[in-house]
Amino acid sequence: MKRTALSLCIIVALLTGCWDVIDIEDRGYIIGTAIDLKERKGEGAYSLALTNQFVIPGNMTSAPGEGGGGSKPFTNITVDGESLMIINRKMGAESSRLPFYGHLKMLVVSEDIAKEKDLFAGVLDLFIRMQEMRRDIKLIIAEEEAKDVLSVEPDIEKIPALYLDALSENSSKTMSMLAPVTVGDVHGFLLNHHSYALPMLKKKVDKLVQYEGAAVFSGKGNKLVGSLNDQETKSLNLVTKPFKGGTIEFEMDGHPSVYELEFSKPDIKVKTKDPQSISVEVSVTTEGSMAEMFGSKSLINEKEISKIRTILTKKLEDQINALINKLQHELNADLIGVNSVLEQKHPDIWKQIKDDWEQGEDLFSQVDIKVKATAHIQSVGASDRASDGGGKE
Amino acid sequence: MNFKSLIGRMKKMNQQQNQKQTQNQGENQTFNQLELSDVLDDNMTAIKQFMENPRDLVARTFQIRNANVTCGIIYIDGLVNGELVNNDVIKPVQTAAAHDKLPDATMAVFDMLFQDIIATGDVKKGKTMDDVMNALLSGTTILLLDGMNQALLIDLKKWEQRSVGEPVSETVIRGPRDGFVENLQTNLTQVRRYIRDVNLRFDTHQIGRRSKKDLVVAYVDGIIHPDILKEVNRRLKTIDMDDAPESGFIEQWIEDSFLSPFPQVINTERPDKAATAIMQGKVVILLDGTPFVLIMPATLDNALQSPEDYYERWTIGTLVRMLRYTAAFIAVFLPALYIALVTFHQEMIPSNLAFSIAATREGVPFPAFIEALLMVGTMELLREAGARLPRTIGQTIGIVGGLVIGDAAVQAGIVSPIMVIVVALNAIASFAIPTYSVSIAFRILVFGMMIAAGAFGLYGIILGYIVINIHLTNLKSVGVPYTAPFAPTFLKDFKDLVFRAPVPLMQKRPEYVKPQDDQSANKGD
Amino acid sequence: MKHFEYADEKITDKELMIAMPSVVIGVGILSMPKKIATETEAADGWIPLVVAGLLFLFMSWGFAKFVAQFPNQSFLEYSSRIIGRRASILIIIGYAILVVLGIASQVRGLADVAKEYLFDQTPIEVVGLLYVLLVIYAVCGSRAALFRMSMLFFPIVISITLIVLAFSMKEFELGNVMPAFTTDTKGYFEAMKSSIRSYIGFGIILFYMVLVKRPAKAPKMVAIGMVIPIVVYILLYVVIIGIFGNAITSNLIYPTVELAKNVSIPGEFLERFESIFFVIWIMATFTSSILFLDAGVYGLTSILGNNRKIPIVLILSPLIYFVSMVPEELQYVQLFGMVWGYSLLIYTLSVVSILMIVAKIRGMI
Repeated sequence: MKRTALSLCIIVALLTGCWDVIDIEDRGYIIGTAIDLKERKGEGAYSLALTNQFVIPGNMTSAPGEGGGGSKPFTNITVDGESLMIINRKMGAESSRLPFYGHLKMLVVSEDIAKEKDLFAGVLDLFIRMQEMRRDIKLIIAEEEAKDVLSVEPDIEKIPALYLDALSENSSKTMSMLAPVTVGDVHGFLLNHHSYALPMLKKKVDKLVQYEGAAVFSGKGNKLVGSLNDQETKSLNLVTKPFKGGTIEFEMDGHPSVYELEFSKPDIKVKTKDPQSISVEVSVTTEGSMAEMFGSKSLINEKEISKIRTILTKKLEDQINALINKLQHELNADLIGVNSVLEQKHPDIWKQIKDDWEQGEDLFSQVDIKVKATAHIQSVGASDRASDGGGKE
Repeated sequence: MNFKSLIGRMKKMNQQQNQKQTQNQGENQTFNQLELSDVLDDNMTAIKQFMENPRDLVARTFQIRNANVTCGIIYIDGLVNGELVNNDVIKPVQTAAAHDKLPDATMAVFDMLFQDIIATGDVKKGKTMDDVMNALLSGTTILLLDGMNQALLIDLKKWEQRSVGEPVSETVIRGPRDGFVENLQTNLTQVRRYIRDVNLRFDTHQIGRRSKKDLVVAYVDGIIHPDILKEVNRRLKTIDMDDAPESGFIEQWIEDSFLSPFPQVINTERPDKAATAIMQGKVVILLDGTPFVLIMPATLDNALQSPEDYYERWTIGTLVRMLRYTAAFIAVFLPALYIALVTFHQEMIPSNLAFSIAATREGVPFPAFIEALLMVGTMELLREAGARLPRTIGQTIGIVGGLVIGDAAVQAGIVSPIMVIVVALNAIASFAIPTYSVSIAFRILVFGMMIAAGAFGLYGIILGYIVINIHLTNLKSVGVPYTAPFAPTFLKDFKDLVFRAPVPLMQKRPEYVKPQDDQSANKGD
Repeated sequence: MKHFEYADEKITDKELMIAMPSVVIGVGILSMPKKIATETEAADGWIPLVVAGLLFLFMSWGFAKFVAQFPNQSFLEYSSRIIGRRASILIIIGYAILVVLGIASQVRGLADVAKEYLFDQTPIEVVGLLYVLLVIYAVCGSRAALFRMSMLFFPIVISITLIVLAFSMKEFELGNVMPAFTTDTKGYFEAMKSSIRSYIGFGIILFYMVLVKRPAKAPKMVAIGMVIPIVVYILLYVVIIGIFGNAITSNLIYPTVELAKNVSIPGEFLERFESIFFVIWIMATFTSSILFLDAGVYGLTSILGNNRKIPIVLILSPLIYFVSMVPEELQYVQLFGMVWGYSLLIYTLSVVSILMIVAKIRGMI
């Protein structure tokens, strides 16, 4: 009897359930989102434009025989509004399917928004808070209109957002590209008041975009304070994380040469006793080989190798110094992570200077940073002399 | 009282007794213990009268040559070996006085027949009408002697029967090919041949109020835990029904919980499986008239074992078991998981897969839940139709149902192709479970899980899973917890669970049946 | 056909050992790292977790040792002998009230997480109701079955936790865990308060000891059992901090679930793991709820008689359900959980110490 009553209860509960049932084909899958600034309406009030890239699943799986079919597998819907929440509501009314952010992969924000203090953090807030979203949505800054980036029509991928996604994965092979930064990462930077850099995107032609340089955000106001060019991004990559692959071009005796990086490893050492005397040593160790020699030098010669090594080291140090100079004096953003080292290795001192690092007394710009590069040249390619086919190794 | 009129009364009473249950215990006993008469004719008539002289009853009288003694022989044609009756009974009896003179006393003649003349192994003496009737109906030949109030019950049973063949419901690639048959005696012989242990015991029960059938409880004394045996025997004694045509009746009468979808008794057609179970300290129940024997106690993991796991090498055995556990999971949960993912948790499906599922579902008129219900229902229909049809047509059903309907349904846009894959996988997985009765239990659970998933997605599934677990942990088979040896945990038994240890390492009998002698092997030197 | 109980209804050593983590690990761990990370620096939160854990380990060991001196006696029997029947009845009733509150807080916590991660529209009332119905179904069954169930669920829960930990290891950054030992004393103290709440629930041994097969071994088993939650908590905490860093962790409401959200399964078989993780975590919560409720019911049946078990369950469970739905906002839910946690702790501690002291004075131990 009791069992029957119990099972009745369960059945009733089951039959009245189904509040959340939405069939898979009734969702509107948003795979990429772009946010642009339409206009400034005075202090703290803006008009935003949100562009969502919806996937049209039916057009995704065109059989090879059908030859493309002609209809695009995606559609972009742009809606304007005062805040993202309002826009979202409007979006639901405009698309026949329920907007679903569960598969969102790319978030493109225009440079204009990034430059506005607090607006950027406000925009991100929604993407951090909404449970539907993943923490690994990749965040990029578009140099011009963010909307345009989502409407490139690459030949190689079907959906622009997936194209951007695939492109950003190449960062591990290209040194001048910043590694993808996710919404979750930025959440951490914001909470820790760290400065950070995001990849920048440039629309080249109708069909292609290119990642170029990095947008630098200061932890102070959480807004875009400047940008790094390709060369500076390369140096940033070298000093912030171990890297595999990549090339360094330099000139030797007037000949352009290429050093192929196999492996690089940065190390930041901070020496400090009190907040006033902080000395930082940034060292980079690289291992690699000579890939291209446009001269006819024999590389077996130890003298030649050490000469190359000197030139290479000098080149690396110069580039990194230039970057650090820019960071310290122009952008005032500690992108190389001295603050993290201080926090982890010298927590007592860090506690005292925490508020004066990038803001306040601006200690970061006053710190003395030494750069030291060590380049190992492992092998010299299959032949040491390209021009006259000398002795082989 | 006249013997004949007494018989008439008794017969009437007997019929009434069967109709109105056992009301009058006293009178009933008088019938059962009604003794045979001295007069041959009376006995013969009484027996004929009891059965109303059916056409398969053979009853004749004959004389012993050179002596003035009349004998009566009664048997049921078809149940006995007529040639043997002629050669071993009638002929020797007729010529009993050919060489020596018979003794005068009837009693002495009777004893002489019993000891010297009848050339058959199994001969008993019967004193009451009840003995005689029961023996007669089970195929014994009755020899009566005029002037003697006892009968000789001569066992010369033989009837038409299926020869021992390969078990149809449980096939193996490697392993013995013989299966049980409908004849209890043959089945016992098979068990005996597998277990040549003096301690092998066959306890006999008679089941059925009207049709008294023999039921044998087989076990090895000294291995089995006495409480299990006692409990099985106790339950068997409570059985009170007209007839048990198949061991399924016994199973359902003695199982622990009739509300459970899970079978608490394993049935098998394979003597090797039955013998292994006996050796593990379990009880095997054999019923006359059916090739399916029952193994008790049963646990859930038994359902996922096949004798072949032991015949192949241990790596194969282990991998196959893992495969089966996976199959069991798929058989119960796959359609439910699909429903949950497709209607609730689209974010969990990898993007590209999600888009292609969405693309294939576009234009499907039903929600995924209804679609799944439809397909799994159709699958059940096909399975049932295939099982009842003659084998040749059964295959056609598979082709027509599986291929034609499935393909047409997809073409017509009623179901999505992925759903067809899901349902087919689910069905295949349920066929991979070696025990049919468990596999159909799983088929029931599929529906429950699908409803839960359709209403609450993953939350529903996990609640469903918990309900199944609550039920399973409360379930017992002859007092042994159904989830043993997982819980209660017997770590030693894990050697023969998902993992099947190499044979030399399996030295202990399963602990969960608490065998008295737990050592089944010793490590070889 | 149920006349025969071949497998006795006693609790084996292993079952007792597993019952401890089963009852201790509940819904609290989903939000626990947040509370501790808020009070401590970097990954220092492991220290209060270990300290609290060890404290509870010794306490439960002591409890078990004490109760084991009264083998084969129910709580009512031995406490009646120590402090009299009336006082014992009062203690049991008090405990039953705390049980109702405790499970109510679990139900609510679970329903809230479910609402956050699984459902959008489904009301928490329904989510909670289904859960309570299951708890009723389980507790109405046999007592041994509850222990068997925790035996069955525990490995699953542990393996899903290990899977999540293993797959998230590649995002682990050592820098997030550094620097060590920078938290001030106040921080540790505050974190201790949160850690302590993650370990309560071991009081069930007071009631279940009578069923233990070998009471002499019980203290050891209980202590071993308590090691498991300590290890699980520390692993989870350190990995969560290592992946998210302290700042993010203290800003996430359910860091443990977010950890699962971050996991990407190799082979891209499933993209997001948090629903699966949470759903399996329900099993951990469930075993905690049923053991806890059953301990209370067991206490009450010892007063009212064994055949009253089902009526007692059927009276308590609607209470649980209604109490669980009373708080309206998240902060009240947390407050409710906190108040309940401390009251149970203080209650259990004071009851046991009174029993111990009185028994000592009377020379019973």
